[in-house]
Amino acid sequence: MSKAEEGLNVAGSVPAALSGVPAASDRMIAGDAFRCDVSDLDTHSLIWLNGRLPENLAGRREGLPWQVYRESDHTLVVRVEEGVVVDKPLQIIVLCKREAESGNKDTGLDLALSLRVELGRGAHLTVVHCIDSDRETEASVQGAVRLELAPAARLSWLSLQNINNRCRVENSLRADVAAGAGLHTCFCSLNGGLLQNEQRIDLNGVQAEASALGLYLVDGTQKVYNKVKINHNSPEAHSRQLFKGILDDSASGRFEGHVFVANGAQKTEAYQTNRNLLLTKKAKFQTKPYLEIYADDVKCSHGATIGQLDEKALFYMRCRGISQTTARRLLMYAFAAEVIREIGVVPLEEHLTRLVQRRLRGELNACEDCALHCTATKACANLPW
Amino acid sequence: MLLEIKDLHASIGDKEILRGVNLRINEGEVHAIMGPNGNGKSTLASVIAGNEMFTVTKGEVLYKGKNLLDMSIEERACEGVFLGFQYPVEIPGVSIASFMRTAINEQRKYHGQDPMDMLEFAQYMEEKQKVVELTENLAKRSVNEGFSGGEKKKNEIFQMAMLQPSLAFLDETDSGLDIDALRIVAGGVNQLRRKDNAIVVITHYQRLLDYIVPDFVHVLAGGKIVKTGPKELALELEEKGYDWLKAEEGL
Repeated sequence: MSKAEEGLNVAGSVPAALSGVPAASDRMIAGDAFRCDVSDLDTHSLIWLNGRLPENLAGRREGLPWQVYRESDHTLVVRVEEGVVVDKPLQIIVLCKREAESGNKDTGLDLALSLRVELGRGAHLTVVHCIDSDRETEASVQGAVRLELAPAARLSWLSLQNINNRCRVENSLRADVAAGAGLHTCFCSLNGGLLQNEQRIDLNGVQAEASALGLYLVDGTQKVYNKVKINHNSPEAHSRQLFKGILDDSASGRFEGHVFVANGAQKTEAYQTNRNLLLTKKAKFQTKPYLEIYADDVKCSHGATIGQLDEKALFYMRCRGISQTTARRLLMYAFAAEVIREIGVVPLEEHLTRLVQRRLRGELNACEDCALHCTATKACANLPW
Repeated sequence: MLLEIKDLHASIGDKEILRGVNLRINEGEVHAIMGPNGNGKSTLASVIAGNEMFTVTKGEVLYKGKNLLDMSIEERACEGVFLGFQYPVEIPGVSIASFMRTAINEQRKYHGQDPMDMLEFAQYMEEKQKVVELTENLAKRSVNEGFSGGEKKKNEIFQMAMLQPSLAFLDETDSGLDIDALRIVAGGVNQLRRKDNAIVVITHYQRLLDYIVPDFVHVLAGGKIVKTGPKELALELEEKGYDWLKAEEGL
């Protein structure tokens, strides 16, 4: 049994110190099986196996650009002090995995995980939050995330969900964004029986910014729900929602987007877009864009579409010798890429590109024994798009 | 004989558009098809390319001796049939470079060849861009997205240069072009004329034929080719219109 399976761990998977950031001197490699393999991306990673927080987080750790500690058995706190710019992403991997001796074979796992991220004034951090499972384990994961951004702080929150069809995830995110701070969230749902992502972002100061992105690719009988509420509590705040998804087979989903502009929140700019491709007649989607505005000097818009692949574009591509299968895939990828391009962290964009391409080819299932399913991704690097 | 169309009838829904087209095209020839609007010129090009909106109800099309109508759209393309679109389609998010690389590699795969490597492709593309003075900048943009009319048509001829088809139908490649763009696009087409290929230009205007000089001019009216002549026929049509022909044919 590898160390990882014993329920560790902090795995600072990359030793090299970056300028201004202390090396992860306390590297505790969690075994090669769980090594983070986002190519070209240095990360600090932290694995949360079957709901057990790493024991050795009891005290604060030296040598990391943040403080990480347990507040309770199920609550993890990450704090970045004022002015600290963390240039390596922190990767938090929630892994649902059958353990030979733990008796979760028949009953399934029921995990409640809570995470709080606090950024001091002007601090910067990127968090990659992955929820993964092996192929069989039945699990229900309730993830509560609390984000607090002091003025001028920047936080990118990328949530990646790739779990088997017997797993369900209910993510609930609450964020408070102070003046001049910026929060970017992206929920990327690649596989899972039921994936529910709910977020509420409060913009509490002038020039606070939020962008909420979502990409969901579901098939079979998978279900995906995204619910976003962005509250403009202060004037001069900006927000954007962009959610796109592709539904195949009998998959179904729902989007509820809500922009609330408080009385007096003048000069608000808020944009909301939800676009969906249904590949079959049985796939279903409901979309509910919603703007609630109590100020009169604002720019707000919303748009929602549910449609099919563009037949004219398919014909055009086939006229150039591209097979129907490839043409469909190319169009689907182009559709998804609009979200991926917005992530803003190039190695993550590339990694996600490979995962999405594999997903569209039907190769990416929840998954192999690696937490990030990356073993085959390099083979895809030579594809034409 | 490169292409032989025999008594071709095609419909969209209940409406018959092609009503017995006969046409023979040899390698090395340039043909112009003219005719009034709504009489089947674009439909003929679409049917040759395999557009599934149209149903062929009668007739036969032999391409290099094979039954073209049995082939899928992409098979026809891989066998060397090219359609230059009157209204090129926008494909947001797919760059011209990746679109062309996919097309070339799919065609190579069809012929049992290995994919073109990145470097070779880049050089090849750079060379072919020159045919229609397509800037590198444009090649990085999404296919036809936000292109002007002229850019779209240049892009069609650029794709033709890349794919080197044996038979190209160019559907109103001159529409929406200003004089300069027309000269560039027509010049591109002329560079692509070879002894072993054939080009069919569909146009309303004699002007294009000043640049791309055809061997034959056909008039398609009422779903049939009603008259075929040398390049001078285009001048006559420019002068007299189509009514005299319609009267002659009793249409």
